[in-house]
Amino acid sequence: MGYKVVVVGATGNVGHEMLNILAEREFPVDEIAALASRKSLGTEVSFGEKTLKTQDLDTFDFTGWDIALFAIGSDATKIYAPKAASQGCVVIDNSSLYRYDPEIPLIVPEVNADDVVRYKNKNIIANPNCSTAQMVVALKPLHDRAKIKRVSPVRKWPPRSIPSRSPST
Amino acid sequence: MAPKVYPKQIAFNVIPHIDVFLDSGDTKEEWKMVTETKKILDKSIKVTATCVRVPVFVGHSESINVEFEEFLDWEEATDILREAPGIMVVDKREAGGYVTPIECVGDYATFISRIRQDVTVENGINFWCVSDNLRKGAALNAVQIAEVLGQRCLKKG
Repeated sequence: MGYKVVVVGATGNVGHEMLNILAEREFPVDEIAALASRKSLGTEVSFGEKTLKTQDLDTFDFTGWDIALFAIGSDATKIYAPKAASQGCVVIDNSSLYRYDPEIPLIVPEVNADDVVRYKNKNIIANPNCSTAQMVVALKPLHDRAKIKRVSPVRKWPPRSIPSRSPST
Repeated sequence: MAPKVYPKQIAFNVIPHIDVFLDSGDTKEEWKMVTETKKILDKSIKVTATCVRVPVFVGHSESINVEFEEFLDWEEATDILREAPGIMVVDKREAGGYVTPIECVGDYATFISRIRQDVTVENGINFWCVSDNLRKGAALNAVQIAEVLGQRCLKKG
């Protein structure tokens, strides 16, 4: 027995990686749905050994689904994340839309996994900015030992012009 | 040839500008790093960042300078990081004894190299931190959240 999982934005770079990682880590999935915008409708995406046909995000009913991993821009997230959340599905959102909302937990599991219970506030959990995630994973154990006063990172990013792998959320 | 995608040439160059500029002179990307670190780790931590776009295909690299309340020896910091979840320390103090972004592609780990004392402040450490921005920086972290949510909060089936 597992969960009914939805990946929203399944044809994008991050959505594609989400499907790969769910399969790689053998996340307990009973049923999986890959959603995309109407323009990429019917596109096939892979999930482990399986091939999934993408479904229309606009008409999808999230009722009865447990977890939705969102990997679409903030504008579309604003429309569909509250819809999924109100239909009883817990949203884990990769956009920056909800990160700064005090009611919504922002989680890096190695650092603040205990905050996950606060998903109940709005049925939404925010995923951090890519560079914040890797930095806090490194800072957490050092902070526990010697308490950090101040941090000054210089961060180097890949260019966004290379379409294959460079989200900026 | 005039640059089309960024305000300046990106090939064989670096650009100190990601996302929009704020009134403070910081970019939005720098603000995100400050605000999110406080929310996730500890609101009392002061963060100042400079975000620079560089011509690599994959991976975010961070040169991190940390100032602590208590003294932390670089060797102890290395031992702590070696034991920490999600971290892989690769740090030989010799040519090639560190991780570069091209080597982190497709990996789950956050790689730490160049751990050393910063002697210009009382309790300072410097290190280098590299990770695949689509994995720990995005999709992997989201799936890890789903795992914690499943284990602690949701009923299966």
